[in-house]
Amino acid sequence: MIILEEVDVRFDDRPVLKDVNLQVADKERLVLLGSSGSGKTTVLRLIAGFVTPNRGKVMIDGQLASEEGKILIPPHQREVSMVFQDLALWPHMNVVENIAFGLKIQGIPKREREQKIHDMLCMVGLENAAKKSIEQLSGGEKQRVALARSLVLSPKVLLMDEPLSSLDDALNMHLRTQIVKLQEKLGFTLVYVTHNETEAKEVATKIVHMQDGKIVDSIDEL
Amino acid sequence: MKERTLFGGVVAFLFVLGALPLLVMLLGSLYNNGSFTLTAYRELFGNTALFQSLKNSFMLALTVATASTSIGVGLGILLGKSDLKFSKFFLVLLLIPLLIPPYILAFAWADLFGEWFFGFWGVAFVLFSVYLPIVILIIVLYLHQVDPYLEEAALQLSGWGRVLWMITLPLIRPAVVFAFLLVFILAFGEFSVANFLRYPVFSTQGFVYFSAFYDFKAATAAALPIVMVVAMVFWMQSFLAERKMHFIPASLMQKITLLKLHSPLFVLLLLIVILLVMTPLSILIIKTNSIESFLEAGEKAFDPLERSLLFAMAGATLLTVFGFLSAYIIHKRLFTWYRWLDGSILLLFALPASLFGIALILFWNRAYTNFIYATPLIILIGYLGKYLALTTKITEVKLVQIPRNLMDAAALSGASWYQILWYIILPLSKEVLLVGWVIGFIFSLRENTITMLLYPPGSDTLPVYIFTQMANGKDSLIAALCLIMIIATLLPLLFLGLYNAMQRRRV
Repeated sequence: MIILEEVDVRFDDRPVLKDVNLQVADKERLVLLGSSGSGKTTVLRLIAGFVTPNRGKVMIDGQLASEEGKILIPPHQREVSMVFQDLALWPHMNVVENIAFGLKIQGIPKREREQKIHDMLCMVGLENAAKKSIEQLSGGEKQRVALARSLVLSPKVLLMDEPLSSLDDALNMHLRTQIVKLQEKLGFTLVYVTHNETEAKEVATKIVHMQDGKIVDSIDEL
Repeated sequence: MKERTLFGGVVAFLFVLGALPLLVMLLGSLYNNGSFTLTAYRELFGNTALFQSLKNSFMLALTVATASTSIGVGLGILLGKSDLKFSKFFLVLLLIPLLIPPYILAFAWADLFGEWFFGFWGVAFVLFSVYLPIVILIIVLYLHQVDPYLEEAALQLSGWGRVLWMITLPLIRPAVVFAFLLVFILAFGEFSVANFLRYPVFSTQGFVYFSAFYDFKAATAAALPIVMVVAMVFWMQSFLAERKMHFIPASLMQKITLLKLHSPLFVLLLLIVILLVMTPLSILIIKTNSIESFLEAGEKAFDPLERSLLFAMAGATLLTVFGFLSAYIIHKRLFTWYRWLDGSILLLFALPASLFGIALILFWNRAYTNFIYATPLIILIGYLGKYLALTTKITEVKLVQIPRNLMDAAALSGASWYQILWYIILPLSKEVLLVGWVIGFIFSLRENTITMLLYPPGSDTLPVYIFTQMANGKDSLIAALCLIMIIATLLPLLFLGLYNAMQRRRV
């Protein structure tokens, strides 16, 4: 479970999050919905450990992960993965290398690594694009590489920051269905950021509305 | 090892190599037999000849900076923002005077015009041709940061003339001011051209005080006005650093269509290239006179050239490594006092080479540091201190462009700071590191002031050898030596160009 307790975040004295309280249950699909500048991405970066709260606490699985001015559990020890809005695929690595990076860093033996990568490529339907460079991929393929790169590490929590915003409607709908199926199959907790209400309703089991750095509404049991 | 521990060590190392010798020299000029005194400074400013040389330097720097900036801004816009044919080729040609030792240009022009060229206007003209490319490069670079939509909005209301004047130029104004100040301090501290063309300026005075009278206190005091000018440039630089760089790809940039102006501007640019680049090179070729002179020069230049290439390669490697590390510290703001590192690196670049050379002598010329001072290591320290700003700034521009999310994604994958550095940042920076190495190589190879002050017996480089030959050597031999120097300097650029062309073809 992820808990944000009375969290304030300021960038250069500009308040970005104000007194945010949020709970994300295990295996839940929580969508943060709101317009630009409402603080959705900052909540994700707070959970990932890239942003430090100026006030309040972030708890992950009962452990204090961040508190006022301090990161107590560094990003790579939180068992959290993130799909960034711009995907952040490493341009100097091909598809397999992008997916393999985290496994290599964690010292997973080569054979096991290759098996995991193969399984993941099949799961996201990219088995034929393994050796392609990032530049050669279409928008949808890039999206699936980013998803595979995050999921291959078997995270407990997957954070997705407007991951489908740059895709056309048909592809957007196809991929969000795929994301929901993957979440149900693998059982990770999903925190998903979007400004699109339709997208939110299709993905979420719980929707949290944000506005001006505050949580203004919460809808459970969709 | 922790990131801050390692990089703290890097900063300490750079401090000992660069800033500490200057501090020691400054303190030395303020103390006499253990008591504080301003005698050196009082004597200095009561000296009429010195005051005149200060005036000369100021006028020279002002003239060179005004001419370079006003013409360089125009050429920068023409080469970086218009549809002029062969603009990249012209840009490369105009860079040549910056890449070769300035006194070689002075030698060529003095040979053409004789005694008439010696003095203020001769020095000003040579320095103008040397520093013009700096302004052009800065303007071309900053034009790539102008949001094309801002210009497009204005183009609906007016033609390019007004848009340039009212939109583009105000947007790049900080870059124009920065270019002016940079040229001003470089011209203010330049030594070799004024020395060769026998024009008394402030930086040569410091050299004279030290080399003729071994009066390092006066030499230090003589540098004080230069430090004040440098401080102004720092202020400008920090202002520019606050602006986040967003480079617009050339394909998205709003280009000026020259239409009827294309032919006259093309001819004008061709004439400028002929005047500033082709003429001095032609003079040297004509002056060389024969193949025999060239072969004789080749034979005489062999050993110094071999040493020059070796020192330049070692210097370039050090500059690339430490340039990357310094840029990483500054970009990531690893320490709260990162601006001091940035400022010190720029200060060393801006200070006259003669002053830095004197500081290194005073600091390292001791019995227990002889293993450095009596070997070519001291020359490498000189190159590192003097030119670190170049490789640091080049790398910093690249680091700014690497999206933060690429590093965050690696951190979430479990990568530690050094794994992120090794697997993500370094591979993404490899091209800029290569460019940094080539620039470090060229500037180390062309350097002669620090080398002249520091080289141990039997370790003279080609620029030093040429400089000494200028005093009493045959003109044809000197011209041939200068040509060899130019070829050695430009060859790596040619290789870099070929490498780039191959990379582009592969893509």
